[in-house]
Amino acid sequence: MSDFALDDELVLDYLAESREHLATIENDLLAIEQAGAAIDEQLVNRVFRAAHSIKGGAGFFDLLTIKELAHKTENVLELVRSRQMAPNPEVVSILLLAFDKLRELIDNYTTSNEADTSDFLAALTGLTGDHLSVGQKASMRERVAIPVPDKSMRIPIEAFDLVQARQGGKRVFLIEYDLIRDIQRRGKTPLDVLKTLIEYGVLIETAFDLDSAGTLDDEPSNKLLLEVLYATALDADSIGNVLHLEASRIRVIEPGDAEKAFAAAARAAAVSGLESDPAAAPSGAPANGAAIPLPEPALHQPALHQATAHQPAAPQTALFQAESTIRLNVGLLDSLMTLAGELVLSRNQLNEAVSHNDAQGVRAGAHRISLVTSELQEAVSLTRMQPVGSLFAKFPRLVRDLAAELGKEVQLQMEGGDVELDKTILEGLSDPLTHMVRNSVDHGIEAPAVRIAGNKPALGTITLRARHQAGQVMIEISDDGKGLAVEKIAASSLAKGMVTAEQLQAMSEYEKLALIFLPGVSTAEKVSNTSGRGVGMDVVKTNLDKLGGKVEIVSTPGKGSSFLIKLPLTLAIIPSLLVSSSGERFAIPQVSVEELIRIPADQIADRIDRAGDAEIIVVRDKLFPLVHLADTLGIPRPANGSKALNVVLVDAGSFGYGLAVEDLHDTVEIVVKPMGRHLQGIRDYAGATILGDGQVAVILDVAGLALRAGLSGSNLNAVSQQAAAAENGGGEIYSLLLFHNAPDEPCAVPIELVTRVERVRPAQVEYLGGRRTMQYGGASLPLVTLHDVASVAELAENQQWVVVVFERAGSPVGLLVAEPLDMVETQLALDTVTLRQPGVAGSALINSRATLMLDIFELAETVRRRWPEHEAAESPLLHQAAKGTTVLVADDSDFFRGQIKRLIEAVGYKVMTAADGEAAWEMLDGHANEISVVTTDVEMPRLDGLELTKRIRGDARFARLPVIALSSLAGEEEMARGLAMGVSEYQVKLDQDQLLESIRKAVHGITLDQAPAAA
Amino acid sequence: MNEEAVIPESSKAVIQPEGDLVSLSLPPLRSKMREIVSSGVRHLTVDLANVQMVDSAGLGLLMSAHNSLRKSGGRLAVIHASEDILHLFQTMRFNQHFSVSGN
Repeated sequence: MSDFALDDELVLDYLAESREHLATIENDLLAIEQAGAAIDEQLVNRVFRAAHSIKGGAGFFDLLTIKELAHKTENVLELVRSRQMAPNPEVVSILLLAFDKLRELIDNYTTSNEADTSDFLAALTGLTGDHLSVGQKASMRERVAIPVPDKSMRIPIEAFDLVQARQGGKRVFLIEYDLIRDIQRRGKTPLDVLKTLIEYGVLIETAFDLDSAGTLDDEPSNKLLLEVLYATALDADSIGNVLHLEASRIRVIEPGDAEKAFAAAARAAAVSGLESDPAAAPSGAPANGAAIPLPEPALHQPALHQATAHQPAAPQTALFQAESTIRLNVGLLDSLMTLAGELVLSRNQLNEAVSHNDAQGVRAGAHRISLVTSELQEAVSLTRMQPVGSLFAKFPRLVRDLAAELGKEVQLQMEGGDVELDKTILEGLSDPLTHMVRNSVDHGIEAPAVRIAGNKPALGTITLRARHQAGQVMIEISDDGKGLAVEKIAASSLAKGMVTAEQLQAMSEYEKLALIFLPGVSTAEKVSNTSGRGVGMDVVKTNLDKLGGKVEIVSTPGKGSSFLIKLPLTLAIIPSLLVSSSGERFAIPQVSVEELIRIPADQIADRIDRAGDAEIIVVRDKLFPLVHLADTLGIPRPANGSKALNVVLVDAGSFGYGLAVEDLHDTVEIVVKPMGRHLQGIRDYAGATILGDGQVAVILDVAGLALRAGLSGSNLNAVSQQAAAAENGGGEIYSLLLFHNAPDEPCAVPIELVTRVERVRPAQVEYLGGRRTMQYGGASLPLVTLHDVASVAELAENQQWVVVVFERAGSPVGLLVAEPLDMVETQLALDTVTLRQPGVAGSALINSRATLMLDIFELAETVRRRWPEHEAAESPLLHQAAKGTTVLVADDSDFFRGQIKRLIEAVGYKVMTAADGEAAWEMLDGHANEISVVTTDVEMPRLDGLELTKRIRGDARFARLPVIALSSLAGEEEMARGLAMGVSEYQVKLDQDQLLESIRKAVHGITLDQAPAAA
Repeated sequence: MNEEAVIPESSKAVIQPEGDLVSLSLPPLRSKMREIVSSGVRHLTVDLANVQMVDSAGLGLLMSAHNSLRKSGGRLAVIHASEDILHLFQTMRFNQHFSVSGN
């Protein structure tokens, strides 16, 4: 122990070798477990040898604890190898834990002799001891039979022999010899042949075909068949050559053949007696018990569980520690050496040239040095490249253990393990990748029962895939599980105060998914041992950011999710785009550059929109905020009214934006130098580099620049729609039906208000006393055009006319408009000032076009005034209890508040309105006895709908007041939250019928309730 | 080739071939053995004391004898086999069919 004077070389060698062994053991064991009873001897042997050499070295260095533990694992492995013990999950688990412990001991070898391994030893001894007592003999003696093709004959042998024979990669063959033809006639003796056989392999068993010999009464047989069961590393062809036998006489016996044969043989033996001669089965005919091929060892699990409990994750962390040494291909080292020699020669050449003032020589020397340098750079960076497979290697175990713990069935598939990455990146990747794989098992893959119910195979699949793409390395972790719960992520972020409700509404699905990278956001229903602690994805993101990596998430509910990590090959040298502004050059890492756009001077006005004080660039129908590099740097923009505008579309992680620069230059490889200490706080710059001409260029941090410019993923949409929005509509997502009035006059109505859409020919429209109608559903449908009420252009005859049918208090009204029709889901930032007029609620920017939002109720009002007889038809639909009943409508969107108000008024209620929760509360407080029902938007400034509800429920006066929440945000999570707050009903905005029905019920309910109280 | 049937004692007989059991010497031995077996001998012992070598046909003969005796419910035994022959018999698992003993 104390005499680790041996310390240096020998011990270190031993330790390094042991670690190497341990690194492969894990996956080998997992493969052994997977193979189950069909044991791959090679694999078992490899693990066995690894354990053996660890034991051997430990003995040499007096590392007694290590030696003992290694010895015990060896014992278990021996049983597995000899097929006396099935490598079932329990056995493999114990072995894995024991090897973990060994690794830990080896990492701390100086103190290993004091370490307590009694639990592990007990567990291992439990396996072996236990096993020996369970009739080891029977299994040692267990017999199988190899059937001889085309004969009733079987060759009975001990399974153990067959297993032994296959060791060392040998295969088993059944060879048929004809003693006469193959031996006698060739002038050989049987003994010669046997000697040849033994020379090239192992003779497992032979059997003489008794029938072929005939009896003494028969003519001497000219065909004496001997069946030889033979194990050799040779292949069938070589055997044929060595033994001079044709191929048909040599058959491969697969492990399965024997097992299959065994059952049949046992049956045959039991029924008819294969060989009635008692001598034929010397070691006792197979007893009934022997029919169990591989007895399951009863395990002493309790001891082991204690063992695991004693080790709280300590070995785990030790497992993933970074290595400080690296193995190199000698060829690579040689080439480095050669390059170093070249460098010296070039330097000499250059010195020589300089001392002789030989300009030609200096140039040649410089050229040579340049060549050697780039080669050297390449070779040196190669030394840092390691296959990603070394990182992947730990995941099969991780997935296996975690899946077992969670009671899930998960298989891990890995591809592209040979893709190489810089060692630093690889090491930095370890934690994030581990976390993501764990997440996939824990949250991604569902429990088997759930999967089966969802029509998926019980066995979940996680795929780890590495590949090169565009000079980057892509690592993809995908699972076929349930996908990410976007709404949960959103709700969790909201609850943690990471985002505001307004921001959330403005977010795209992708941005919501990206919220998972915020600290503390977790979607796990329950905190498990492994994940759901809310630490993790933010760390993943931070780590990947450090590595210059990016993560993308793709998730399909029910189908699975996939995380794509993009990584640079190396960190030190990165390809970058050089740009300049005001004569100063800047580098933008190529990974951040999505595309370059050059906008000719005469198109600038078309391609760039203004939204408030922000500029927006339209690229293929997508809007990107535009940031001028000059602005963020605080230098004046170049006065280049007539020059084209160069825009670099950059990817800042969760969003992209356009960066306008003065000039674009080349893409060059730059060597990244960190910024000086004094400048490190500046987020706009990621570092600096020295360019070829000796000048310094700073490297731009595109995310930092975005921050400076006040951009972020979540407020992008708001910015881009500000232009048309004098008032913010709350950013909720609305479904709109788009159509045209006159050509180039796009209009929209909320789709929920529309009953039907019908194409009509102008001829179908009837004119009656200046009023338009058409036949619809057997009745005459009053028609109205926007032109009737608002000062807009009239429909042209040459347009394709369309009637949008909507209902007003039960009666259909048709709005005559024109194609093309379209449907969009969009946020609505409604400007209710600029274009407001009767029938037009306002305007909004939809698909980057100014669109009129129509007010169906105002339009209908026009109809009512013109069609007084139509009014009568409405009355039956008026709510009976409506008279004298007041509904309070709270909504921050003027448009929707107006729509809801008119909708409710139309059936006879009195309506009070409030623009936010606070106003609604004041109104309610002031008219406590008048208001019978409250409908409230959920997302409102000052006081949102749920808080309003909470306040209402908190007041004794309103304890039973019906509150109907209306929201475009209607995930289950929101609904549950709403109901928890005391909302009577939660509705998706805006279904007229449902809302009116709910109000009717609510009012009815109240009157019923109040009746007895009044009586 | 002198084969002597020694002590044809009731159902037992011992035959001791005088030379190697190789194809040329087999036919007379074969007839002798057939004779012995058909005479009702059920336990035939082959004494290989003078035998140095057994070739394939020799093995065939022993097997034929074994088969014949088995039919009549008898048994074959081989004694005084040389080491090589014993090894050959063991390797071919002849000892699983009839009793084989060495010198």
